[in-house]
Amino acid sequence: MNSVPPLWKELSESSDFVCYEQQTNAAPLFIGYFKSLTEPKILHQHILGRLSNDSDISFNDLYHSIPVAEKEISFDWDLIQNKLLRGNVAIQYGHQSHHCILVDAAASKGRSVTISEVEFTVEGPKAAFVESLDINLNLIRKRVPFPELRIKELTVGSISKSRVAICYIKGVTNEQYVNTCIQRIQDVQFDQVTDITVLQQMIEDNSNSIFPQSIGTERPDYVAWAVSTGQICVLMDGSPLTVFAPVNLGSFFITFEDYYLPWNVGSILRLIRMTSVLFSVFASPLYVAVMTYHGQGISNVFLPTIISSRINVPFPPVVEVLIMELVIELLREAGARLPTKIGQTIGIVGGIVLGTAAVEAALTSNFLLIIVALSALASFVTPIFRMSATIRLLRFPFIFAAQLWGLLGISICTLAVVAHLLRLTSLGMPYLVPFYPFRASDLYDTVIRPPYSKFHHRFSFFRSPNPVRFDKKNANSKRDIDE
Amino acid sequence: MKSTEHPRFTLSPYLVFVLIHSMQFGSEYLTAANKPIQLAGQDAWISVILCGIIFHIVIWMIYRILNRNETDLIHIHPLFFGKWGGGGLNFVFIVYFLLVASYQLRLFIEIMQVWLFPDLETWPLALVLLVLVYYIVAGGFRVIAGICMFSLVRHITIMSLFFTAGYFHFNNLSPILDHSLNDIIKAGNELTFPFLGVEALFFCYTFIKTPEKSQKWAHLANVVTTASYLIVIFFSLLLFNSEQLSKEIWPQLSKYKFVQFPFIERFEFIGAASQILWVIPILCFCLWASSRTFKIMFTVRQSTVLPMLLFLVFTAVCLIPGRDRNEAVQTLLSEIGFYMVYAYIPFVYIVDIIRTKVRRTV
Repeated sequence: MNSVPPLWKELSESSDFVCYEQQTNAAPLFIGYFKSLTEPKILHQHILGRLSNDSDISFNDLYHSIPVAEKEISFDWDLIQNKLLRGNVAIQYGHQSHHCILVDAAASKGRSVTISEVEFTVEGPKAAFVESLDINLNLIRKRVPFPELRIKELTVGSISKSRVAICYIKGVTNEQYVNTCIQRIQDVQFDQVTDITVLQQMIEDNSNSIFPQSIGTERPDYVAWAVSTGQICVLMDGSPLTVFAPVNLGSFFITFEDYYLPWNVGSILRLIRMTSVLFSVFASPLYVAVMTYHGQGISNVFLPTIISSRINVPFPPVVEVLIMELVIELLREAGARLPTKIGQTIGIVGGIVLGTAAVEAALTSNFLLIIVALSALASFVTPIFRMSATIRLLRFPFIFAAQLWGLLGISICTLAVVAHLLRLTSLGMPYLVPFYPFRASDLYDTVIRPPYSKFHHRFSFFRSPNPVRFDKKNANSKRDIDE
Repeated sequence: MKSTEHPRFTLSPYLVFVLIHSMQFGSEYLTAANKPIQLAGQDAWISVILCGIIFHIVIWMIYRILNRNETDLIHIHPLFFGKWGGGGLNFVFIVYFLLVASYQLRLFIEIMQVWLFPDLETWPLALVLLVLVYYIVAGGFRVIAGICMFSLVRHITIMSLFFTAGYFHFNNLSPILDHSLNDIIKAGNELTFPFLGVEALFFCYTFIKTPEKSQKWAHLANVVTTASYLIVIFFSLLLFNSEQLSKEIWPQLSKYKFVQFPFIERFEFIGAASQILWVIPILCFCLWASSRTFKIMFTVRQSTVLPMLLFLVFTAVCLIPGRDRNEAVQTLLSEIGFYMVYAYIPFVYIVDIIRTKVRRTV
């Protein structure tokens, strides 16, 4: 191996780096590639096969004879090294010249497109993103066959060198958001960016907040919709999640299935989802507040039910609530860590057995069991996983505040959360828009999902250069009875 | 002279409505009905309307002063009265705002101590609330306006009083115009304090995107405030007779006792806990305005002044021991407010007119 070019020596310390010299009539060829990264079929049939057949070929002829589209000539060692690490084959012609032909022979190993499991839908399309960036971009491009769809690729991480792609529609998305987004990704200082969720935390406006400021989804249809409304989506190689921003608080409680149902049905489901989030946060704190301080506040009709169920419980309400919340969180966590089938069993057995036993052992009251189970259930309706985790954790400060100062504590805590939400931004866009700052014309797709005829303009808070989606006047033809 | 803030920090004109209404309609609404009804009986509602009209004139004057100078009062003061005179007046306003904040906070804590937690100490609640205020004010003026907007939810509790309709005594309203004009004006005088809050315009003027267009919103805020006080007065008249009312300290909270829902027996708990929505916006604005005045007068960072001022308010609140002292602070504040509205603002208005006249002749 003495004849190997000196720069290649370092790479050849890895055992999977293949590097050898092939004698031809004209000049010796040096061939190097990573065995673990290349596809043997392309390598042997289209590249190496040609080299052995034509033995006295010139450098240019050799370059043109390789039947692979993605190839180039370079003498920049950094580029050559990067390309080698991405599955290219480098062919150097002769000892002296540093020019290399780089031919892409990358093996694309990974799973193929499968059904979405996190954000499942009954009626909508079922394809979900996978770990390969190219497949994901293909899924988006197929849904947005629009020439203005721009894809910008960047690299993040000094070790991971992860490929990151930013997609947006030029002329629909505000350039300022795009620039901010690119700037933030370029400013990331980290060696191993393993997944887009890591990147997400690094580029968000306030990384100390428990509220996510961008949405991660695995549904290509949702991403296509988001891009068409003027949002930017960010993809990363090796991550089955696509993140898009800017977002407001309301969009975390929207499942994309709302758009596949008739507008009135979708709206009612959305309303139920939003109320259940409020219930999930406030139910157990209210129980603590009422049971600890404001017992007289409950009506006489209601009081016997609660008292009779609580009469044998030795703990103060707050301990009772904390025990039950902890049990639920444990069941959830255990269910998530175990394989699916065992997880289900643990969930059912744990839920039923522990619940009944806890009531019989007088560790908790029936009434509380219902409240805690319902609020846990209600927290799972939030479609975006990060938000659902936030909702689950949000109730704990409320429980402590309720224990401290009852209803007053809950109201102080609520104001603190509201103040925090008011201060949050997503890519510089206020988080509570369109409620604050108030935008009456943008209220259409928040609490209810209106019919599509109402979607004639894009949300003004995305500051789109082209706010009109379709002409309202042409769409609503005037019709009268019996015409 | 023109000084507006960076467009990133300015607000749409309609938020003036939210801001002025939140500043005007503070915790005073709990007691607002008491004294006017003692003085003018069932004709107290005339006083409310009278007071509302006077405040429209005041808002108009404020806008004339501000529009002509195109800046806020902090900059107008040194312009009109020289560096020292203007600085002194600015300082008076800092003290005024801090006093208002202390009074409001102490009143709120007192209500909590009476209605919810008799054993509650003053300082822990004051500390927690002031930390919350710090967090909001540190977010800037936009966040304060947002909190004011959120606090509009409180009108739900007032509207809940319509559930008490079964207990209304409509006879309490007649005969109309039974009291002398003097009584009605005296009652209106008592209402000046609840109506205070329009002075906020002097300080937030530069933060409004198109300040000239915001005047109608300020007037609308005053209309809504007048309507809210009318509702409060009418509920008081309909639910209590004047002897009963004279024994009540916070008749509004007692009124919540009449509200009943199938599963909530004592609505006044919710009514009392929702008081925070009346207090926090005023606290935030007062501290923002005073720290901003400080910043402009002494060219220091607002974020360094704010904790000091909060500490001052904290000590003041802890030093006001109970009901009597707080009442004294209220009397003091209502006197200051009286002179501010009926003497100081017209005075500045006249000075402004003279200044422009003199300039034109020169």
